[in-house]
Amino acid sequence: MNDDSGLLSIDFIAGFTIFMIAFIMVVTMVSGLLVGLSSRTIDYDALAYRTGVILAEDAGDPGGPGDLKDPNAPGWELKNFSSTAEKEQIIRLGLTISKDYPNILSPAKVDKFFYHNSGLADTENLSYKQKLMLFNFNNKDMSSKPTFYHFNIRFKSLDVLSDIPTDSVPYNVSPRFSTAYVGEDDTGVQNYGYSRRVVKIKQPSSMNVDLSQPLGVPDQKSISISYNKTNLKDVFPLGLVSIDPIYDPTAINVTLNNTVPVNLKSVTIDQFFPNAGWTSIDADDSPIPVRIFLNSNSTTGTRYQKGSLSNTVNTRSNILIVVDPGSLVPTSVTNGTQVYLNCVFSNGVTNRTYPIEYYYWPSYSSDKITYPFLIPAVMEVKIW
Amino acid sequence: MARINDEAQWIVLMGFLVAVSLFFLATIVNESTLVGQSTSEAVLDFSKANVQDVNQKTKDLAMYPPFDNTLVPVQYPDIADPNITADIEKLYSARKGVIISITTIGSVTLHYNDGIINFTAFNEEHP
Amino acid sequence: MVNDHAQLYTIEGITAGIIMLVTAYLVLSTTTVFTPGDVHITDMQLEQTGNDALAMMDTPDNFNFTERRPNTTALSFFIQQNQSALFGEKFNYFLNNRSGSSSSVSNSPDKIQFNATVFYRNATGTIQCYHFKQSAMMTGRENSIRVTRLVIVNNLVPPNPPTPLDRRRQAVLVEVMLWRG
Repeated sequence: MNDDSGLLSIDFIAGFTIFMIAFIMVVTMVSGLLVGLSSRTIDYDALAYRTGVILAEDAGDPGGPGDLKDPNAPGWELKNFSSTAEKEQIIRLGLTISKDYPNILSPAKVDKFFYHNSGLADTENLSYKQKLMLFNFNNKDMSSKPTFYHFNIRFKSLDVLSDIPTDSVPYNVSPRFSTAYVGEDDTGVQNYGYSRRVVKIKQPSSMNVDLSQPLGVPDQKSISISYNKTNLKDVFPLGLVSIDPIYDPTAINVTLNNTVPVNLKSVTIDQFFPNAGWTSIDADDSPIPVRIFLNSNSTTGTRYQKGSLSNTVNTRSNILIVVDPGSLVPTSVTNGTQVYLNCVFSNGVTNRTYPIEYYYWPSYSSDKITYPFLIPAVMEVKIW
Repeated sequence: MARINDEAQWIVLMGFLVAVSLFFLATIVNESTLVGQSTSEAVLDFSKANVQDVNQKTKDLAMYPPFDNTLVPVQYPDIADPNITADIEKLYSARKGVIISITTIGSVTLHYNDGIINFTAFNEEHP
Repeated sequence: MVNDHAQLYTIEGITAGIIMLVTAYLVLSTTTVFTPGDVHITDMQLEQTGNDALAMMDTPDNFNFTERRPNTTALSFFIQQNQSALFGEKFNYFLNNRSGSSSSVSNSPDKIQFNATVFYRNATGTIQCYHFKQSAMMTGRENSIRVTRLVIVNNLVPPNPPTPLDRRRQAVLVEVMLWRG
């Protein structure tokens, strides 16, 4: 029998009470439910942190035999990126000079990562993503294709860089600060993970040799530059100040005494290989030929090519030779004794008969060396 | 007792079921809360910068100063100064809760323990 | 006569329906929820950048062969000479510079504030401190983190203005509190 007197029945109270208890519990749990929806942003920050650490505190892992002549050649920055086989060997990218020096970056690695990266920057930057671990497998057995994250890594030096001229940054900079980024454009991206690292980038060493005050008649038609591992890398194996002509760029600025303009006829490299002994090759056959600066107006420097400079008259009173990473074969300087860079001119340029040695402690008063130094830079990583 | 009126109990029961299922769902989805918190806590707990700093400074202090034959007596590296090692040990203990012990018998040995990181480093450069 | 036997059922049905709908609405529509994990994320980023800035300020740019190790760095120079203004300027330079190009928004400097204190051990063996540099006042509500660095100070010739340090070579601990202001 229905009672319409307005009194609540026990049945209703019991049901309503159970309902309210459940309702309060659900509302208490609501905050936990909603955090799950925003966890993707938190994941990106952890990923950005990890990418920042990989780039700023790790030297990278080149993997595989690097160089055909030296199966154990380290350094992913010396690999030939246009060759897919060599590029695939790289396991991980990292920018430091060695794992013992976190936050100190190698100029060759920064160059290859941010600036001259035509081989690495392939479609959708897949190489970057694979070698920086910017991917995630969706199901646990890794059978499906992974999803790749978007990234934008930006780099800027905070001070003027070393003035060894080059055809683009980072060695010479105009305007004062250089900035570059890899990855996708990040304008308009809202939810991203972020990490900022403050680093220092090692600047290359250089040497000034003054041959303009000869003691006799300048009748030598060639100058010879030598790199000797015992006098360079072994003197200070410390990464911060070591001079390693395999991995760091080196520049030799030779002031000649030429009252008559001369032509540069050839540049050869004499190297010592453990199994083959001394070999002389034309500098054109090096993986990365040396750069020669002859014209006074040139800020780019021509990569030496066999026979191409024989008609170029040296209008400067000095000749600048830049040996980039990759010019010298690793074995020759790492294991052997010396490497000689011989430049032959058409006329006599000096009367010095002994080689110009790129030496940590120059023994001749006319040879002055600038040691490697550091300049600060900042790197920002964004992942979404 | 008169027949209990139970026609309305179905509705309440359905509502109760829905509430329970929402409660159940919320408990399962709640697991994802801890993703960012655990990662950042792990990073903050592992004091990488402390280890790098102490290690680097100990190596530097163990180096002999550049030889200068105008100085009498011969200079020793700073690590041989018990005041400096006591400075480092006491400062880290008081301010950072890290136990550091630097001993210079034979080669320089550095012990570091902050509860999460515990290591011993030997430096062979100092005789 | 109108039969009102069904009123109770209706009320219960409507009540059950309203409660379920309200719960579902709350679950799906609330967007601002305080998550305790958030604070740790920004702490981690701030500590990483702060440690980097302090470490880079404590790295010598040129190796000095004739000087005792560790070489003089920007940080050790400013602490030893008690130059707090120069320290503030240089630390701000390392801490707040961004990497954008000159025309982009992300080039505007970051706004991390800092408060530096120097801790030292005095002759009696107790740990004392003196305030060094503050870039902005703390209101006490900011989430702040602390980064530290050991500095070797040669106080045989005290600087001007003087510090409370003893007249000896010693190690001091520079503590910097960082927060976003």
